[in-house]
Order: sequence, then structure tokens, then C-alpha cells
Amino acid sequence: MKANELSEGDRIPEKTYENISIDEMRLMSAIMRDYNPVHFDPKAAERSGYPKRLTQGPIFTSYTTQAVLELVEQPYDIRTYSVRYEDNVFEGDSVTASGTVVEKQATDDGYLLTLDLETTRGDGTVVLSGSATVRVPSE
Amino acid sequence: MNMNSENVSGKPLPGGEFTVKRWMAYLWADATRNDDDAFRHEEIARERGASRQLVPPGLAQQIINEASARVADVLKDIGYDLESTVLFGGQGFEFHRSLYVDEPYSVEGQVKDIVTKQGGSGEFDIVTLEYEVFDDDRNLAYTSDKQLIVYPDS
Repeated sequence: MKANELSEGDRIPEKTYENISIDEMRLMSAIMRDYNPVHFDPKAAERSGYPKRLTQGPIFTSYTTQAVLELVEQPYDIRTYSVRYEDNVFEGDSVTASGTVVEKQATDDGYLLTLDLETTRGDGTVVLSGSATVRVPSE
Repeated sequence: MNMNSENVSGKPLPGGEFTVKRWMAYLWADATRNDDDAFRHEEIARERGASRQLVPPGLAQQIINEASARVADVLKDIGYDLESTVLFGGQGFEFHRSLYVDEPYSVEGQVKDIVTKQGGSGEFDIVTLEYEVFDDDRNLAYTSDKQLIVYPDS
């Protein structure tokens, strides 16, 4: 189904990211210069009470925006997005990003979709909730 | 001690400038399994109608992080002590244009408000910071707000 064919109440195609790797987490720590060792040092994660090393929020936020990017022609067509972190994600977890169309408005050059977003861990726990508005072309 | 919102609302945050270099957009795409090469290669971005290599939307928060002060410093400046427990509650963005590599963005921000709530673990504050990010021509590229959950007495 094309994005412009989505109707209110429809689910957007979900994207699943399996087995978040520690290498990706290390890379994100280096890019962000995030020195919090819970993201890369297993002993630090254990001392902080986590079962495994903690995945950075920007990683699974990006998974969520990427599910939305699948609907649009260019990144700027994501006009707004907001996220709230609901639970932790850890190395090795699999997460699925999805959403629902809650409003569809016709515009001069297509449609503006309002989405409720939800990203879940493999055990079904919601780790991120949010919303987005995106522009999709009429054809 | 919980902060008084009236005392800090509108308090400006340190501003600054940041340019996303090609490597950062490329590796951010790698770290997040983004399979769109418009975020890695200029020629692919141009095929999509962009003027140069694109910055992934998720990187917008890092532009703010790089150009403005670290969260710990902001909270210390507001008046929280270093023993406070801080959780990242969430963040929102409104984009006014695409973001590109090698383009300087300037960030300005302020404390929007502080709301004190009661939870199972006691009182906590929700500190909201808001930012405006401008391109080199002083056009608004995007705005953002960030919520920090602070347990002052922990």
C-alpha cells in the first residue's frame, strides 16, 4: 500500500531491528562522545543495576523515525516528530517500530498524516511512544 | 529541593554552532541501520533532489547537544546538585527544511518551564528545555523541546 493510500486507523508498515549489536552501541557512543559507560562497559552496566549494556535512546529513536521515513519522499517530509521513552532497551534486544494513522488531511500538494508511534521490545514491552506528522504526495 | 519554575523559566541556555560532517552522518546511518544512502553519499542525495548529502533526522538532537551545553551543566546552572538523578523523558522536533552535511547550524535555547509532580518514588521535576536551530542565512531550520525528569533529593 502506498503512503497516500493509508487511511485513518491504518497501521503503517512496521520495521523490526533484530539483535542490537554492541558494535553499533560503541559506534553511537563514539559519535555522540557519550562517555556513560553503561552503554559499552558490562561491569558498569552491572554496577548500575542493568542486566546488560544499555542501548542509547537515539538508536531506537532513529529506528522509529526510519519506519516513518519509509512513508515519505524526503526527510523534510517528516514535519514533526516527538518521542517519549517508556522503558529500557539493551544489547541483543530486538525492537519493532510501528504506528497508526490517526488523522489524514488533504493539502495542496498531497496529504498530511498524523501518526501515533510505538516501538516495542521483543517481549512486547513498549519502549518508546510518540507522534509524527508527515507529508505524503497525492500520487 | 525542587526548583521554582518562575525563577528559571526563560533562562537562556548556552548557544553555539555545529556543522555535521560527512563522516558523522554516514556513521550515524551505520549505527542505526539506516539503509538510505542519501545519508551517506552526495550523489545519491542529489538523485533524490537534495542539494548535498542529507543529515538523518535522528541526528538533529546531536546538533543541539554539540552546540549547546551538556545536560548536566544546564541542570547545575539552574540550581540542581550533582547528586540528583536525571532521566531523559523525551524530545520533540518541528522541521522547517532539510538538514545537510557541511552546513553550519546555530542553536539558541532557553528553559521553558519546570513542573513538579508526585510519583511513587516521591516528588520529581520535569524540566523542559526548548531550542531554535538556524541555518547560515538565519532561516529557522527546526525547533525542539526536551524533557528531563529530575529527582532532586535522590
